[in-house]
Amino acid sequence: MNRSKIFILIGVSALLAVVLAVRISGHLSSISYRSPHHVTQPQPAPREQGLTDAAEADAARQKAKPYEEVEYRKFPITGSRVAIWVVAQLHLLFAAFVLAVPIFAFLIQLIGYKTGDKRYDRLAHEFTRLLSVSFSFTASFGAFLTFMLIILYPKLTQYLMHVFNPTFLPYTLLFFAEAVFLYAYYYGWGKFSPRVHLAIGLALNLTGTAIMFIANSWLTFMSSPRGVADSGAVISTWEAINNFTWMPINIHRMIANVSYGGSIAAAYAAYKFLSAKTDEARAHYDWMGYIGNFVAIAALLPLPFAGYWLTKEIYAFSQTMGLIMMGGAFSQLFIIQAILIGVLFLGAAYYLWLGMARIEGAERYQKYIKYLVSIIVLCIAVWATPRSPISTSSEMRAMGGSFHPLLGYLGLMSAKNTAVDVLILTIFVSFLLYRRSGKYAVVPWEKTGNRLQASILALAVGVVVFYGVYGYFVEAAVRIGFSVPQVLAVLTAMISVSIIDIFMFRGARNSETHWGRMPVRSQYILIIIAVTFTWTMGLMGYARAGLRMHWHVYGVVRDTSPDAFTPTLGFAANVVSVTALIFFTFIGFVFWLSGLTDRKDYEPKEPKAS
Amino acid sequence: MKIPAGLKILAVVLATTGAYTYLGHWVPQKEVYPPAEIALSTDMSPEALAENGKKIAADKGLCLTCHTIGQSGILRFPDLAGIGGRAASIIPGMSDIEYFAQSMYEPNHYIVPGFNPGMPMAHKPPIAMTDQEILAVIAFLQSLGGTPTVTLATQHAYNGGGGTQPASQSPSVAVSKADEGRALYDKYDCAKCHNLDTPEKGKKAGPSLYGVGQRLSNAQIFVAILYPDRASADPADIDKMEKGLEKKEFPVRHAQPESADAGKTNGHDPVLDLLVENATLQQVQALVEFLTQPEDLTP
Repeated sequence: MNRSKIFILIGVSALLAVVLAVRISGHLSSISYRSPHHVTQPQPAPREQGLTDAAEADAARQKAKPYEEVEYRKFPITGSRVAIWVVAQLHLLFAAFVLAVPIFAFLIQLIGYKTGDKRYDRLAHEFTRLLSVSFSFTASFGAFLTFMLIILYPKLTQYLMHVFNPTFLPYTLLFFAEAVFLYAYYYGWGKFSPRVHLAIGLALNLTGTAIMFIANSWLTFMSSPRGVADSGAVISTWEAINNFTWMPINIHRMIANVSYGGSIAAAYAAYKFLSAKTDEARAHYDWMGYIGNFVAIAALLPLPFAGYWLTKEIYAFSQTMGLIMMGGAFSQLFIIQAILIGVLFLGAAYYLWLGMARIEGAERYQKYIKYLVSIIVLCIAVWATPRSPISTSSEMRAMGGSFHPLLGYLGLMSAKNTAVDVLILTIFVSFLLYRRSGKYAVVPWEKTGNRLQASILALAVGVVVFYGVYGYFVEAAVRIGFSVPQVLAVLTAMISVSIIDIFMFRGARNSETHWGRMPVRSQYILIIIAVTFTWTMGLMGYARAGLRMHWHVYGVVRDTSPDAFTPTLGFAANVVSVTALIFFTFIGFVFWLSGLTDRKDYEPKEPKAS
Repeated sequence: MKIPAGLKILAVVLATTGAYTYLGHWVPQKEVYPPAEIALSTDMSPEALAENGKKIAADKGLCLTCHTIGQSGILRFPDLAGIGGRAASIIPGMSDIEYFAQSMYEPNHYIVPGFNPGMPMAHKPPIAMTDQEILAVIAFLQSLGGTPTVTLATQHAYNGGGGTQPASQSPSVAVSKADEGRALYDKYDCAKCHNLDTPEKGKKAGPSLYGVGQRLSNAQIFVAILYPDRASADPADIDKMEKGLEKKEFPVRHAQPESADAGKTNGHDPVLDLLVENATLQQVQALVEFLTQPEDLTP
């Protein structure tokens, strides 16, 4: 063998040895360590043992974990506060509707029973058609709200339940009673004697009112707590219920519910009017829309006074809260409120004036409309004028501050009370003219009666304007009391003029009213009124809750959540608008469902002859 | 093409909602946050304290929600311009510091003529300023038309110093005991038989308690609550009060013996009663505290 072959053989052998050594060492390192002692079970590698130990330690830590109460939980995307806000508002909107419809359905049914006019009974029945699914939605949103409060605000909810635990059983039992009376009222229509059916309607209303009173105590306690110590300990549950703002909110909501319910019912009538195929149907829904709008506006007229009482009680509870509301963070909100209420009044008046066109003989009163429009627009303008107008820096320098030298005086409550009271009287006169449009009085004292009515109205306006102007020259403590004679003057005028009108037109000669002969735009006005009402309720809900600032229960339970700040009006407008749109989606379903009754029964199509 | 009514209605709803959304964004926007805590240190000069007091007054104290500085005309609450220069002369014998302190701890004790009571107590919720924060606000108020002299070491009647209040009981403690008494007054429904806001008895069964602190000593009021039969000689009145209190589960005692047994009153020894039932004592003390506070503090 020559030398080169030997070298090659050695090289290959070395290479093979290296490869073999690498393979053997790799194999040896991959096999598990075996103890030299005899064992029956395979021992885990150190890494695996370590992982097992860590898992066991973690499990032991989890088992030993102490129970910690969570104060807040987060709702995805919107955050907890907005989620609760939307659901609560939806519950409130449906609850308002469900409480209101039985009130005016009962009253309309009563009118039908007293006069013997079957139209009123049928109308009341038709309004009640909207109730059953609305009741379900109310309860569903209420349950949704309750669960969300428990999950997202557990400590606050627990505290409120601790304070109000005696009220929950009555509340639940009343709900059962409400369901019994509501379904008996609707499904029993025409099946009982009128008196029995009316009694069921009355029971339904009383039950619904009681439910609202209980629920109002919870939310008003959060704004104006009473009956608890500084620490939050309960001293008296009754005082917690009967706090400063409880009764004012009860009255305000009862009246507002009727107004709101009337507007939604009128919106339903508008929807049916616009979808009607026959003149007869149009006439019926025109009349229904008129009744709904009448209910809405009749209840809207005294509503500002209920609002004044509520504001007075807020001030009595806390002047600071009152001033935050009217002169601080929420002052601009009330400018928007003025515009919204202005739209409501102007819209309602415009609807009435359009309606005069369907009444023969109404032409004699149409000349007054331009004066009424002017007064209404002027009053709304005064009401909506802020104390500090939106100004640039140079404008503020020119004015010498944020207070406009002339218009600033209109930003004070003296001017606003006056404007609202005159506005209410003007709407009242509007309605008075509509009412007498097709009537010709036959009493001999008609001229005297008209002069008397005009004098009473002029006197009321005089009283209102006098106190409004005088308020600028007296101290605040005196000025605040002037709203009482102003309100009394307006209420006295409305009641006395109505009484004179009723007697004056007894036995009057009536001209014909052509129901259904209404321009289409009048129906869109009813829709706008319903949307405006909904939006106003959402805005006022923001005001009521926002006045608590960074408190869950004002002065008692502090809000320490990430949402413990008052959002801007723009943000609130977004939330209110989204809520309103969701509500109208649901109410659209209610309208559609109620309209199914009029649809022909389904008939399967005949198979085609082959 | 005929547009369905539903679509037209939807358009109107969207347009109206959109208009109001725009309106909501059009007005000046304001986001309000919870008050920030301002750190105060004991080595702050009066001027520095006044500077921080200004921030507290505008934020946590909520002072500028109600009070203006430099405005005249129709005002709901007193304007604070120049208050630092005149506070010392508003109430004779009271320094400016004591006046400011009283205005914040007991705001309804003195009402500026022409204005209504209604200012909340600054040391209580919802404002709940600390004693140090109140001192800072006092320094700020002194600076309005005057020179701040207050530091965090300054003492006044409401933080354990001298002044018009007895040192043994700081007014904040007295007020809170009076609050407790108020709650008990409501709990035992005393208003059912007694007027509190007018000296007239009116239609109530019992005498008016208006200004009772001026007519009777604390001890006399104490006894009248605990032993109604010592408050009146009329058995009908005694019976009414006892029944009313027993209904509310208040432990009524009889000073006069109901039986001929000498030294015993209805089976109880009055001295031992007082020693044993400390809870009752505490309640009566709170009631006395509430009834003897100045009339303008009585709600």
